Amino acid sequence: MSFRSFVALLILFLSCGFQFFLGSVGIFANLILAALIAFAFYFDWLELAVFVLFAVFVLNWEPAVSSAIVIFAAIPFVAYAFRRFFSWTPWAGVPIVIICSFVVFYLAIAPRMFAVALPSVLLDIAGSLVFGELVIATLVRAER
Amino acid sequence: MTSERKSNILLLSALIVILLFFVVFEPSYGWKIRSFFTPISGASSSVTGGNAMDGLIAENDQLKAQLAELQGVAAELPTSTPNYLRAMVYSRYPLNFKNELFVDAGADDGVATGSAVVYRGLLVGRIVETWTHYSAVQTVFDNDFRLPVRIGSSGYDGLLTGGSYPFVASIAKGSSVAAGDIVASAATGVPYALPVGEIRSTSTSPDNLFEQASIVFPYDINQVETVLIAKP
Repeated sequence: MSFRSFVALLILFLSCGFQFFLGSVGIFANLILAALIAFAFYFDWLELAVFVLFAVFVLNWEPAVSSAIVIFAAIPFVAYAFRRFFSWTPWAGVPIVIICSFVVFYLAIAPRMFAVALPSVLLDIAGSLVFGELVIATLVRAER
Repeated sequence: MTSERKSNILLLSALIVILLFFVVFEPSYGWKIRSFFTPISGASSSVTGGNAMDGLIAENDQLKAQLAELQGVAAELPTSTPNYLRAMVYSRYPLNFKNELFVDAGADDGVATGSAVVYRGLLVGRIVETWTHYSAVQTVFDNDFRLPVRIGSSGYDGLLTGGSYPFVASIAKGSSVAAGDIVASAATGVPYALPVGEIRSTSTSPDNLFEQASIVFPYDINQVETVLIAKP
């Protein structure tokens, strides 16, 4: 395991911790998905699959596979497929993909959220954007 | 392909197989990891900041609901008491699309979709999906939760509308609903007059046709660890 992979695993643990802790006090930000999208710009698909499966393992909330968890797992791989379009700079690519992914995720699972809980949706996207950039910064540092 | 690359691929493939096994066959370990990350604290109540006080307020709400029943709707009381089944909350919906709890009682234990779920005598939600030994509870804090309710001893009708801040909508204008009035269930499939919470304040609806009222809850939904499920 490379140092970068170790750092990514640490980031994933931290994002789990932050997301669940914030959720327990009523603040929701999908930090785990933001971290996985950032990982899609730095790791090959096999390493990404390990991170995604770990996230699914921790996140899966019911004894059956729901459509939400399938879409959640698919998003990082879609980001992986699109990363070549942003190869010039992940700093811009990650936020663009995070915004697009989150909008698609909300539209697919709970489109009504845009009408009834828009501030919560915007807070989620804003928090995840910041977290995604932090993940990128950490991975860039780990690469050096 | 270098040998290092080969061993990396082998290691990653093994990890994927192990994780897949746990995701499919042993998801409960994932829930345990999640509960490890989720602090359990009785001091974060959104209303009072204490479990003992929460208990007292919940009890007070129950008594108020009973009083409201006796004063206003005694003739409509059900003749039979529903049986309840105790269940532990083992997991919560971890994203912000829904507000659901997952409990360790399912269809084999007699749980049916639509059953009322009670915590400290207060209605906290309804069963929306059942599996053999598990069920999903849609709580009153879910954006899609709707429940006909009656308010206070006068029994004004309203529609409990779920969300981060649940409120009672569609209250007829001119109703003398006041802060402190109890909100209780009045829906089919749910025991009659189960208390939900207390009116905090009232206002006019955005379309100016009805009144609406915010509700205060004497518990923190994130701290709920065990519930009672009404058997059909």
